Amino acid sequence: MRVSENVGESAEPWSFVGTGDGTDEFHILRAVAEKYNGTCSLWFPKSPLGKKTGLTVLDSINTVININPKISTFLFLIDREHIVQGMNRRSGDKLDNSDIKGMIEDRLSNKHIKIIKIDDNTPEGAFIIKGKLGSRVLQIYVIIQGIDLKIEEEISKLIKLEKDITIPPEKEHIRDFFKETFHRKSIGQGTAKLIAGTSKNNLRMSFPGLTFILNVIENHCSKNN
Amino acid sequence: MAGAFISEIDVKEFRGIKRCKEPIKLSKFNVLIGKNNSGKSSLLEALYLFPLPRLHSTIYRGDRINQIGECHSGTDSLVYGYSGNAEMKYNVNEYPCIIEIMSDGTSNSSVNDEEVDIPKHVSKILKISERNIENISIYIPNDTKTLDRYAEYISSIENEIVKSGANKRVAEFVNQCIDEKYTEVLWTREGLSCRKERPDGSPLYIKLDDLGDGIKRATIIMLLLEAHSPHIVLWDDFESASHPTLIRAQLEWLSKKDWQVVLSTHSIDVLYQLLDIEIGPADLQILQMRKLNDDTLVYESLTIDDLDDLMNANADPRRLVDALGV
Repeated sequence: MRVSENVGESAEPWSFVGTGDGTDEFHILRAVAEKYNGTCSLWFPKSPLGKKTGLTVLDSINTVININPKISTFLFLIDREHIVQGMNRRSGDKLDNSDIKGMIEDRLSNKHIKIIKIDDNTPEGAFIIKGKLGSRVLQIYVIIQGIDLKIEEEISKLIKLEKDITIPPEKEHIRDFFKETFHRKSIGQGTAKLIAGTSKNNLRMSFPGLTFILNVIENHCSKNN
Repeated sequence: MAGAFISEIDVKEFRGIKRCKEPIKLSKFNVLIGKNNSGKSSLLEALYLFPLPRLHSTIYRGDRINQIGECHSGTDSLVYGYSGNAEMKYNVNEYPCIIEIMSDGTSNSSVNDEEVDIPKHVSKILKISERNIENISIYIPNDTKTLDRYAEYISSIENEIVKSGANKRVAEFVNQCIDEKYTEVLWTREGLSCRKERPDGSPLYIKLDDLGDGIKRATIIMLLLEAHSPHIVLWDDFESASHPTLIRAQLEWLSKKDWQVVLSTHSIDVLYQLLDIEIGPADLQILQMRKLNDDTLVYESLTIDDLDDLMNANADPRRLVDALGV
């Protein structure tokens, strides 16, 4: 499956990708998606600014549809910590799928998107939503990254599985590891290099939400082509 | 001036634009984004040719049509495919005005489909004297030749600028964007200079040419706009040579004045800074522009809220133009 910053004029269907967590996600998503077949492409027009946001990323759906009404599939990547931030929760309280589901429903309905169905049969942090905006039917995938808080936990798990090294799931430790291993400090690019030589099975164990959703998109595309 | 001065423009066979898919609606403050060669500069030039392509520009010291022609390979380059006629339709204060440009450089203007005495008619519509019609708009292309001409012009109106205090206001503005402190912009034997005070109180004059390009450009343009207060400011490659601090300050300054603004940019900094500028949501739009294979211009208007939503999704609005009209 292809992830591109530019949308082409080919007939292949494009899904819009937005993220609430900066610029590392582009490299990680592209590396994971390469492991999947499928005639769909993911359009990730990433900004160089890298804002840390939470579920507000969902607000972009209406704007993207205004720009091109043919885009009806959306994939959003959000770090769990950015959903927790700003909420009146004790530290250590983990948001479960039903909490996040309610928050997604609220966010979408604020933007006049009517939810037709939210798939219940998904792993922790993965949401498949069928919605309607006016007469348009939308397929929305939301991935909440991080086991407890953030994507660095998933990256740390992959490092453990692939290299049998325990790295604390903090940016600075992961950066140091990539600097030493790949001579790159960028978490996005380092993770992409690690993913390139990783089995699908280890990917599934490290990034359960992302791999589950990419699998669904892959199946969805092959059915429609 | 409440709202937009030119509220709509339609362009046919002008420069690289074959046609517009639909007339382009303008707000009071407009920011054009799009890839290179997507029609942004052409749209600014088309707006500048209103109400008369042959209108003399004292600032540039030449006809507007020649000024635009000199930015390219000549006046014949203003017509799509170098032959035939270009046509622009404008909606100004609910009056439809049409301009036709022939590839030999001749032109016609009409209002309400009637060929009329345009200066007289436009002055009536706009309630300004015929003498002031040439100050309707100022076009700021991204080229040094034009900037040098504008610098020469403001030197010729030195007394008016000093009397109005614009030279001090501009110095105060520049101070917000640099680490030095200037007291005023003034004219010395060496030309346009900025005056600063040394710790012992003695003055030091720095020639404008010796300041960075961004500050030089900003100073000349601001003095010019302060002196003329046009109805519409047309600014190409707005961000050219500007640090984000200068971009922010200029956007704020432009937004507080009583004129319509149409500027083009490739800079994410401009879009980012727009989110913090105090302009009424109805007065600000970002126009995403794209030219299709047949040179039809398509556009989509984003509100400030749309821009905010896209930025929050870490999506780059400049890249979203790819999807226009696909």
